[in-house]
Amino acid sequence: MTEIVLQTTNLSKRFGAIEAVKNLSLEIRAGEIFGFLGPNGAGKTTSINMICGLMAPDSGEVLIHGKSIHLDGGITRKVGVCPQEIILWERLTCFEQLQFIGEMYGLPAATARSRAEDLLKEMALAEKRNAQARTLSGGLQRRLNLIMALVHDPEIVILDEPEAGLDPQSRVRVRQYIQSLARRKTVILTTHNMDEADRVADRIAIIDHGELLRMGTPAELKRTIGEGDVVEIRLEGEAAQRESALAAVRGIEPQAEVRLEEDLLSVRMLNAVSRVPDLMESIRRTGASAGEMRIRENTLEDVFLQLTGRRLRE
Amino acid sequence: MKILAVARKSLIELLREPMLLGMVLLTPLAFLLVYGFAYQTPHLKTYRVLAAVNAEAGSDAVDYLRTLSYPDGRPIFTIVIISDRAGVDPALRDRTAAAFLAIDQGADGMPFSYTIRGDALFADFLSASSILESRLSGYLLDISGVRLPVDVVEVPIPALGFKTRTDFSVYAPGLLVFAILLLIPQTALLLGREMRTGTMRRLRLSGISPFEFLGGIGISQLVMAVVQIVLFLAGLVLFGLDYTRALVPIFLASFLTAVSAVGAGLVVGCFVQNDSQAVNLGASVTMLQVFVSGSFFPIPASPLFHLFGHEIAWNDIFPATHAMTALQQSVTYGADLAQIGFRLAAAFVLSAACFLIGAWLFQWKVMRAGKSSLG
Repeated sequence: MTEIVLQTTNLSKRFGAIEAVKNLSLEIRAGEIFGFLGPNGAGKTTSINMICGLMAPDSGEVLIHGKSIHLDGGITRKVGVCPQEIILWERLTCFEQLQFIGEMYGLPAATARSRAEDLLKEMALAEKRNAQARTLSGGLQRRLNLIMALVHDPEIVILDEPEAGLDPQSRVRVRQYIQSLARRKTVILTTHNMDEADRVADRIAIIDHGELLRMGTPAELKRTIGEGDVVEIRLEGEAAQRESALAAVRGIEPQAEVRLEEDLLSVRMLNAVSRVPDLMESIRRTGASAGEMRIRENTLEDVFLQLTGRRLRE
Repeated sequence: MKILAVARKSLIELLREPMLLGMVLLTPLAFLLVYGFAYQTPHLKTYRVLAAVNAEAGSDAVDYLRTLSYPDGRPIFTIVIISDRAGVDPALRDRTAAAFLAIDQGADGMPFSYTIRGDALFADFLSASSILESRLSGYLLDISGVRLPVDVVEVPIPALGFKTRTDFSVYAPGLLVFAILLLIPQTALLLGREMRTGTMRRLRLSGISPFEFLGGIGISQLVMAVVQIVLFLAGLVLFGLDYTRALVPIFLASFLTAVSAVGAGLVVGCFVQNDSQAVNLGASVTMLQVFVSGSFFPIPASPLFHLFGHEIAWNDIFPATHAMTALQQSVTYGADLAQIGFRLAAAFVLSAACFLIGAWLFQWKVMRAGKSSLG
């Protein structure tokens, strides 16, 4: 059985009337990429702040290798945190930043320098070695922000929204880099980007309003909302016609899960592709007409929608 | 060592910020230049006095005053005879004249009587009127046949290194203290910036202790202070001060002022969230210390008790007060280490206390895990 490196038990935090995190209990295994998925304000960053020791919980405990971080503060040095915001010393060069933070984590100066050089190469920042942080583009700053969490070679790496604000080129590079960390390190990733979580994470915890809603592998989570594919049809016509179309489609396949959001009709059913002609015909009969149509697999967005009744982006 | 790494980082940041560097190193030099040129005139100056004469013997009295001179031959007074008194008050108000002397007919057999008018808040009036009074009363008694039993003699306190004592020599220690106290906002600024940019969060995650972090910041600021002190002392030489006989006491007193300023800056830094708060609050604390330490103007403070034979007043709680006294005694009068030892020791103890308070506040307010923003 894979070792549990990080555990939280009934972690709670309240800010005045707002309960930011409610009884969060997690077990994170060595070498996995663990995704924390939830909308903005769900409590992800608060949870991360408690896990890395920046914030004291109102109740509950964080254990790393079975040791409470509140009793053994030094154990948090096994954790590297890449914060959501870009946090850099504006007037230090890329190399100086990495060397300095390495020394702050207790690395000997020579080791810190060597780690800094290696990381700059790994993240394709070697050319910017002597550039001050304030002169870098946003994407390059984000890359530097990420490797700042890794200088001291932590066992657990926490990445808080690592792809936020990245240009496509940097996003691909960061995603590849996170995947390259898998198995070598335990990675905890917070995101509100379902694609990012789906592609990268081994297991995902869906969190909303400070509460853990569901946890599992992406495939497990998607299976929880049913088998089959999703057909999405953009309806044209009056509201009454769209409602008629919804009723008509429900009549075709009672087992199907049918939903209408404004003009978007979503139908989850088995053998969806073969049933498309039937769907289109039933819609046509109601007087509504179908515009754009696409067929896709279940996504984590669907899971979140089913769990909360709203979309992740709302 | 983390403490040295923090010091190195802070110095690199400072060196790459010309505006901040200029503020700390060049502002004191600018003050030095202004004061140096403005107050370089000798302390014993020639006073311009307006005079209205309405007595026969008055003209002789004026002639007598015109003959008065300092040992180097410069006249004490420039007497301007006026017939219209309408211009007197504006001249006194504008301080283009140190005093107005009215000589009228005397009563009861006296050859004349006189009145001296002026602004009692104007230092030149105080000096000029006292010389006029002593000389004219002596002259009056002399021509009346009675000599004054005592003559007034001014003996300036010998000042170190100055051929001629100037007001600048009096202001120089205060300027030096003021210059060094500018480290308060700068030190606070370094902490405020770490808070604003969030880098303080990174440092907290690394597990650095308040002593390591603040110690590093403190070292970087003391390096800056040494550069500042050297530049300032070099500037003093340009204005004719030869302080080499008291170099060690002057440097020690200056350095301890810097330690206290850095300590105060760390305390201020614990209460700010960004750069502008740091500068505003730090500047206020600097000005407060400048005034209570008597760097610009003497502060009358009644002694509360005695310690090792020294009077201790309420403003002695500030290390800058002791440093200022030590500097005054060493820069102006050439006091040696033994003579200012108590003041140096007091400045050191209070500075160390300031640093410890700063470290404790920093641990309590910034470093410990606590509340943060929602996420």
